[in-house]
Amino acid sequence: MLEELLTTLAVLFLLPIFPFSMLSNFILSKFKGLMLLFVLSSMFFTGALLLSSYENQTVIVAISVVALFSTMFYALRLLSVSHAYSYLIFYYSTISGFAWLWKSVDGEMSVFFIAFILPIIGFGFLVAFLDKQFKTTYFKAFKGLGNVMPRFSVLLVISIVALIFTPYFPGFRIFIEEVVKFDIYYLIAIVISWLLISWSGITLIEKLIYGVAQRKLHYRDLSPLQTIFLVFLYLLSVGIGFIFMEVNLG
Amino acid sequence: MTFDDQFTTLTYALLALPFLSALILLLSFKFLGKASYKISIFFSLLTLLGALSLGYLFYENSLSEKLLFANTLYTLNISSLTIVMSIFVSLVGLVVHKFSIKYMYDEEGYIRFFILLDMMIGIILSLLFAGNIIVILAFWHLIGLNLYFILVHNYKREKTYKYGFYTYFTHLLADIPLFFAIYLIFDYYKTLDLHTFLNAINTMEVQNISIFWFDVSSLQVIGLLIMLAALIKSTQFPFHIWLAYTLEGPNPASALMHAGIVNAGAFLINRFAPLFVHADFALHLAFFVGFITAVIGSALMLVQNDVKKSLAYSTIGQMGYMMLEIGVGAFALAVYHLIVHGLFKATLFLGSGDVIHNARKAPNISGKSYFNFFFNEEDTDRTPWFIHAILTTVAPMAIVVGIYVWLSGGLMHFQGDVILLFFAWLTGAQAIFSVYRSVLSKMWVMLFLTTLLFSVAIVAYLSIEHWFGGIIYTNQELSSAIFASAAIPELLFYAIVSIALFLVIVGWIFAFYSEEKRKIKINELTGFYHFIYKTLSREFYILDMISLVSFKLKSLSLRLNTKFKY
Repeated sequence: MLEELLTTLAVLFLLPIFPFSMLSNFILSKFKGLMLLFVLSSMFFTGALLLSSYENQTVIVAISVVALFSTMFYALRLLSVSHAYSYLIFYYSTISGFAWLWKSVDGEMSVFFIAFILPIIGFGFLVAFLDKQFKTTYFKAFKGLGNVMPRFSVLLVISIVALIFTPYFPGFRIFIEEVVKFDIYYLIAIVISWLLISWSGITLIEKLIYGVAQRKLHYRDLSPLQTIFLVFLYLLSVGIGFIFMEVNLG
Repeated sequence: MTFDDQFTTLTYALLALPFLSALILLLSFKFLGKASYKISIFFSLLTLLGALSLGYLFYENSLSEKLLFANTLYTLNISSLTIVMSIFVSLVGLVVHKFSIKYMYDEEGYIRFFILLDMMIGIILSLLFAGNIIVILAFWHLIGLNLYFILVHNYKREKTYKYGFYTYFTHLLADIPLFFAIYLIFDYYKTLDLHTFLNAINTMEVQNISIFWFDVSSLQVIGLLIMLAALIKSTQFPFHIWLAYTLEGPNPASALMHAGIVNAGAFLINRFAPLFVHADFALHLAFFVGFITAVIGSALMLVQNDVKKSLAYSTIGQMGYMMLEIGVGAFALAVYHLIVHGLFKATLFLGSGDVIHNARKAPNISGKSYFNFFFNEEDTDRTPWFIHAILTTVAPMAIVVGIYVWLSGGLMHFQGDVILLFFAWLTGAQAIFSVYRSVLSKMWVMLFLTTLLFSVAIVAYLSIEHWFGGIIYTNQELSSAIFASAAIPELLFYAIVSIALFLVIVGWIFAFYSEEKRKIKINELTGFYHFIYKTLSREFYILDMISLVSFKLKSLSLRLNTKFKY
């Protein structure tokens, strides 16, 4: 009993849903750059692993109701975040809700992990690059990166497109399978979350890429090696997305 | 090589060519620079040739439907509709590509524009061929996303990306009914294969869904959802606003959008055509929304002072007519309408830049000889107004009904016929009234020419509709069943037609009388006219409402972020 309770709390910390997410997000906010990406990925991996072996379906179904609310809550909050790091952390909280929902319909946690880890790594890497160069990820500090950092901008656009459950990226499969498998009330909440996540993604592109860049800043684009790494990552992601389009309807 | 091999290879080549072009451009533009646009043009030409060849194979072998890789995720469902639409899309794609060579040459991101154009053609073609509902949804969604990136081509301008976002968001909204439709289709029919689902409609017992206190047929609800998705994407009121504001995007993109993308809704409905035999609510909704959109779109067009915006509202009005046609069951006519409208609207958009350019040089209307032949205020020939009123109402009706009876061998096969003839009559009457209203030196010559032109147009319209209907719907039973499904109780139908007829006739008489006597006391109506003008010029405050909702949601989000830091 105690062991189960501890496991539940551990998973709620690792795949955080509101209000447990307050603690997780507080801890995550203490990290920056690649370290944040490492901690977040580790939490995701461990959380997915623990949740996959978790078998108390009654608890999962009960938590999934809260997870649904949490997903909508964080998806709404994504609309007005002011830092790219906050976007990454809140996005993680949003998809953590989806993870609980996924588990409640007996979804394979490995599939869920694969679906989201690559886009998260890609985006996290780009955010870390931004922070390293400008010592901040505050949106208002930059504008118009599309013109001065073309490689970075193209890859950032692709990374956001991957994050917002676009077809032929792996996240789409999770979304569509949840659409098909849940009842209509869950479906409404899932679709609202999807709408808000997509909205926030496009807003993020607007904030960073569009407009006219400030002249006083010195801009340095991604190196060829970094570009190749990210291109490979997204090619892999699209490849998995193609395979994942074959939704398990059983 | 067998016929099947040829057909399969050609289909895959057709679908792959635009994406291949985008990929080659992406890899080669570093080395070839702006000249790499030639690759895109070459592939566009190949795509058109591929579509034509596929059409030739399809009709040469008298096929009505062909499934490739049946019952898999990547099933390709090729029907006559697919073939006709793919030829149309490839043709428009080639024209837009060709036009963009010079038009976009001085723009930043020249090759990016071609890459996105190629991808858009590829996405639309993939939507046309998809035979699995999830894949249809995927490409349905990708159209909106890719369109967004095309529209924000000039991303340095704030207005561009602000209005681009409206487009993207409206397209997101168009996905939502499809999600619910997918949910219900899978829940009730245990398949997401389009062909299997459409067959199951006729073979399986229809199950009911309980919505509050009512039991509704699952097919009615699915039909309604598919219709809603199509209505939103096809710029129907109140989801029309994005189209009017896409004028911030490049002109070739507008041409592609008005000729191809807004028509995706009509395609989707035609794709699910057998469903609507059992979903009459959806057809009635399409009729109602289409009617409102046609009126509002045309009214909004009248208050615009921008060529592109005026054209955009004209498209919205036309889309309204197209939905109205769908609402009466004339599915094939709607496809014909979208193709014809697409061609002339693309031409108008591509020419609009030239018009604006010339207007800047010479703002006055030119004094060309053909203009002076008709418009000469000094030599006005005015006959009594009631002769014109009778001529305007009776002549087009006689022409429309006469030609219809002649071509169809009878009157009134379906209710939809009467409604379409009603609108044809209105159009003819409007044309003759416009001639009367103009101050013309050769009124009777012009009236004769207008009437003659109208007769030719009606003959062409009805002949092509019959011929085109035969091509798109080889199964005439299905076509008739959809018409029958769109029917409403006869008493109600005749009551509506009679009221509409009465209102129109009174309207015409009023218009003629006021035009002739000029006795209407405008001053008494000034407040009302101001109200109408203000409402129209503010576009029914829809944009303001969208901005308000968006602002409120963002404020709520900000308050939450302030309150709960983490």
